[in-house]
Amino acid sequence: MNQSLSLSLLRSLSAPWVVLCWLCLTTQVAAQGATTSSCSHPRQPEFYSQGNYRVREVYIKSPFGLVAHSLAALKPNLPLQRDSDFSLDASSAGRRMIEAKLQEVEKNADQRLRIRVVLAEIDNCHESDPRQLDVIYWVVTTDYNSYFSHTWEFKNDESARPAATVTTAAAAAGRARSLLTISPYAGYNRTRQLSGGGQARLRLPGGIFESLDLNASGSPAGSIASLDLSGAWTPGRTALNRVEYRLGYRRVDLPADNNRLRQGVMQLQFFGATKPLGDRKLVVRFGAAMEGGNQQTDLTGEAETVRSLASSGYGALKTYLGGTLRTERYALAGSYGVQLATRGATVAVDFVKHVGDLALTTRWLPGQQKPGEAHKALTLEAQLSGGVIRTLGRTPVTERFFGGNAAQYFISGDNWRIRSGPFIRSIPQNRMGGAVGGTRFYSVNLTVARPVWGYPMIPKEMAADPEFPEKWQGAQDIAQSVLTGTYLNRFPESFAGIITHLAPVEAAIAELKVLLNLLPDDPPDELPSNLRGQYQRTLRHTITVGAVTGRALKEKAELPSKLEALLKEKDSATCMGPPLPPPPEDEDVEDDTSEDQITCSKFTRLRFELGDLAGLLRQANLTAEADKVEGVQAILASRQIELIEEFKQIDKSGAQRMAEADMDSVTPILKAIKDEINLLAVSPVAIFDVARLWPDRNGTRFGLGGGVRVTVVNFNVTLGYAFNPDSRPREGRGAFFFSMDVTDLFR
Amino acid sequence: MAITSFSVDLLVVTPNQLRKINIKLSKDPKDGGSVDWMMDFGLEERSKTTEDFHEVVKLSVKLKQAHHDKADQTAKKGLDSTQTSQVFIASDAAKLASEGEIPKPSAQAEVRKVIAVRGTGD
Repeated sequence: MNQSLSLSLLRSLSAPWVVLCWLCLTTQVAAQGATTSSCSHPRQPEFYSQGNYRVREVYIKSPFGLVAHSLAALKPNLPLQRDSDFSLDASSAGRRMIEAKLQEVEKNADQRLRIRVVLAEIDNCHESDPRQLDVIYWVVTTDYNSYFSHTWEFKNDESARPAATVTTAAAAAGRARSLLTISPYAGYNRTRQLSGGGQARLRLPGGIFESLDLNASGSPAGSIASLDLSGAWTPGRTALNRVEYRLGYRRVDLPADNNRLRQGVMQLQFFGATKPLGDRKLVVRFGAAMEGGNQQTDLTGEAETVRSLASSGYGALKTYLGGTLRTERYALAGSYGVQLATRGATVAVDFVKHVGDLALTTRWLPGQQKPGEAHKALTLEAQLSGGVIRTLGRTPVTERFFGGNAAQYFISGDNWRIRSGPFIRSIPQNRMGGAVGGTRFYSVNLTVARPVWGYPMIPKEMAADPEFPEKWQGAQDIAQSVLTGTYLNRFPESFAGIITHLAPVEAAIAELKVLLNLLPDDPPDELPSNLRGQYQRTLRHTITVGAVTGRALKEKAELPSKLEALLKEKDSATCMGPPLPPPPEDEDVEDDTSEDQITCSKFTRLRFELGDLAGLLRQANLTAEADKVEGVQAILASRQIELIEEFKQIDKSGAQRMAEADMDSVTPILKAIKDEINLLAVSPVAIFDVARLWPDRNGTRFGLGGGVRVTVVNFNVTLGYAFNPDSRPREGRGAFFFSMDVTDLFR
Repeated sequence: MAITSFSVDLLVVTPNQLRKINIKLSKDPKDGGSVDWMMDFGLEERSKTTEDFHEVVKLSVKLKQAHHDKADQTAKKGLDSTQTSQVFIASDAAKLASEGEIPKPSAQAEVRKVIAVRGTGD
């Protein structure tokens, strides 16, 4: 989101971000303050838990400083405090309190996948008198959005940039869920002068539209206001992964040289995106918009000279298409939009506007860095924009191209921003193009930055801890396994045959359920006393295994994910052989994790239980019931081997690939945290802009300058000054530039 | 540094966005030298994607000593395919328990088996 030094300046200095910076910094300083000596018994923590060690300090740390600070209020209530005796029980209790607090903080997040690891550790053990140690709780979560969601800017800008960022599924789903969010802002811009305003978002749960957004800002020089109803839908298909729609009204009144541009437009927009395609994760985007309204400007004569309309109605149909692809080192985005427009309520097209936008962000990371050292990636951002208006009748002046240091977008308010005017940071907003603008333009913008100072996300002591990556990787593997299981259900055609062949088993188990309900809970009198306990246990067990198996077979849409547990034996010789002897009398009935129960499939377990039950029923002279039970057992036995073979033949690689694709939105987080993200970094910035507008007798314009970028995690605030080497009247010798954007490091 | 206890907590919304599965595996060494491994299993559902999830069941089980090595392997290397399938069976069992079809301890046993059914080869 590049802007002139206007509304964004004070927004960037607004409370949330100041607090965020401070919080991250203080956490990091605290983390850096810890000494780095270790403990002599790292594998025997009980060594320190015999009342012989006192707690020197308790820390709650996280790579995301804000996470740790959201837990800071919990610290005085933790069981372990400074000078208390260290105990493992108390340490674990503290970890559980932290987990409960995290659960509360993250409960509103609506993410598809969240991984969280909480470690309790001891460190800095002083093993001679006075015996002391530090207690450290480490918290790492992929749900970082929950901690940033209170700032409107972050959530919106995260999905706003066409060049460097793409809205990830997780980010899109994890939008702030507060019912009402209000953000005031103010700023200064030479064109707009001192301005102030606010943004308000009201969440509308349960309806077609998910939010109502009001955005208004004003100054003595001009005003902008918009009201939008927006919603989204996630079909999750390859060709249509996400759909967003918006109904809005936008009113603009801004100066342009000695003219004024006023426009009021009603907009209905649709936007769609595919899933990431191929190894390069190409996301294809497409959309359309209908607009209608009116426009007024002050200079009728000037408008006439360029075959334009100073005041008129306005109607348009816009479509746009583009793509974004990302690798570890670069993000590339290209967009094209076309607009067919009229001067009002007519089908006669007055002009056709074409715009194109190509953006590249790339980074070069230095080689091996020392733990605790800021990551010093050289970043290059390049953007090429161009457009042309083909006039068939008359073009409303406000639809012509105007340039300056505030970017104008093809579809205002849309999450996908395609530039629709020359962007040059050395010329104030709307001062390039004179009073009536132009019909063709191009601009090239280059920005180079490299951190010279900062703190990395992973503090030194955590970067050197070998156990953390192990646990974190394990959590990711669990996630991928569960996703693979769920994706098996997306291939019903692969499982159609086996599900058909399971029908007789399902019918038999349904009959079994009826029979089991008729059997007496209490052992029949005819049963010998030494078998009465076994009868109750076997009956209960059979009911449970039968119910679980029956439920799995009944819900066919989700059956593929359960088939392995139903069918696959870990030890075929044991499971497919004769039934094992019943478990000993004293074995916990419900905790049926005896070897046959865990090495054999659900079908086999049910078969064994049915065999036991039939034997008990015969001893109780319930012959008819025993025959029925054995009938079900026989059906299971006769079908099981061929079902197992059929299951083995099913190709499950498609589900694995889909799970891997999902994990692509999560696994890069760990890599980015470890290798790329700085908690705080300060970078010098160099910029170079070239822009041209036709007709404009001033020719090609340049901007050259520098500034400073402050990065907090992946949120960048850039402030600088661009010189205008060939300035014209009303332009000045240059202009301040200001931008706030989010770099998508998690790619 | 020495790790005294940890938890690995995973939340997955199924691709149809109608079920939310929460699995948490935690290890707590005790003062007396023993170790507790716990597994928490939560299931939330909704009938339409536009609705909020509602909790179906939450189960917390203590793992047997005999399965601690498997729990450790699971925490380090993830679930194997049989364990994964057992997650969904446990999910069914949890729902059956919430409906009163089977006793809650039986559903807890199915959750416990998510760790217990791990193959010994890995």
